[in-house]
Amino acid sequence: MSTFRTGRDGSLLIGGTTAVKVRDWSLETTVELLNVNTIDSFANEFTPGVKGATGSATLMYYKGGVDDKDFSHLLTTILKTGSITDSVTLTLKVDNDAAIKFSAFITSASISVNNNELVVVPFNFTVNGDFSEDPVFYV
Amino acid sequence: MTFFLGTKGNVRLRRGTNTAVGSISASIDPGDVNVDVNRFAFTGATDNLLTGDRIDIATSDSRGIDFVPASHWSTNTTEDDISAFVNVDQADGVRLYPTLADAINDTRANEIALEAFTGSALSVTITVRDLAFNVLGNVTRYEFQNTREQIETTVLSDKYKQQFSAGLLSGSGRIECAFDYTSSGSQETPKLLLQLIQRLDLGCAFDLALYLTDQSVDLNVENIFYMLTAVVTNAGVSVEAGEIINCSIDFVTTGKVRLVLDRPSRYLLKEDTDKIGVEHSVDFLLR
Repeated sequence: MSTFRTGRDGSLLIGGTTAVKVRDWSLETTVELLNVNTIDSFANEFTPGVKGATGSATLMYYKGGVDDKDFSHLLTTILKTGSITDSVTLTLKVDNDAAIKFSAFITSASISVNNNELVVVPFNFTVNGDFSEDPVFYV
Repeated sequence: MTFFLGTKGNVRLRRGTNTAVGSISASIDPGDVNVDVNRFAFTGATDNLLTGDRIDIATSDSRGIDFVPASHWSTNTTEDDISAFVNVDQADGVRLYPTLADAINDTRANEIALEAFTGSALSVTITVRDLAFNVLGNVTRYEFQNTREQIETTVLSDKYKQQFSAGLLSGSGRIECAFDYTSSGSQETPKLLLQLIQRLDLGCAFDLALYLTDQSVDLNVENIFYMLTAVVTNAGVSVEAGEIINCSIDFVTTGKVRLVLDRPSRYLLKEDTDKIGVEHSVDFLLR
């Protein structure tokens, strides 16, 4: 259907399971541009280098049943003893037909606890490697 | 076309809405049960339970709800859950009743008897889970606004503002009624409006049915009502010499808001044309 999309259509999957209490997500993809100017150039010229992507999301700390694992799964990839080894597979959905799937390292996560505010777990991630083989699809 | 007066409307409410967050855990010691006055106590009762609440008490303890005699259940064995209406006093004391009116009016003749138990404390989960909508008494007026979130989609070269029409739905409103603290039947007392906001851990959400026209008031009109779950944001009372004491609540909605043109929720559809009346007691539950 030709229509706009809002956050109401979106979702976030962690390892294939839909996270239930997600407040927001965002993804920024960048590509390094290598300058190929020569001494006779009068305008910048570039060639594309390596691409990469970083992003963030905010989960709400929600205790009750199976939803517990949403944030705990993410937190334990960075908030743990020993070295960081595990990446997570994230799928960011704009709606059911538009999704971006990739492996990522959680680069930062925090729990903020304030009186009269919900406990939320904002975290940042960096995409590890390329997007999955058939990951970025917009139908 | 016909004009309708507010006298054909009604406000019905149901206590306890979200069982996922609407539960508290408690521990009941043998010493907390007073069989002389059929009353038990647990910490936090006055903070979370209101007189008239219909609660489920459940335990995973193998002894079951051991402070209620087995004769209370039709199986004549002590089960691991019980449903009842409660009367709560200021000392965290809780008395169980079979009906709302008995609980509100503390009709001691109808209280559910308790019995002493021994051993370790009984861990229980207490959930406020009323099944029926009750008419709120003494309502003088209510108002409700249904709001659609506004998201602008105007783009360059548009000559008129454009709006996305499927933003999030919400609502807010206000109920005002003359103060009363007694109940002769199944009506909720206006006092409840002042108490709802004070549930400490269980939260102050409740289900609300705002009737524009109510067939139980006038058989010639259809049932048309807003069905929603409300969260109290403000509760207040106005006491003035020479004036009726008025209380009011402001609320916002959480979750779905529907305008229903139908039967109320306490009706069961049957193949024949007669009705099954649902009595306001805890004994009609189908298991």
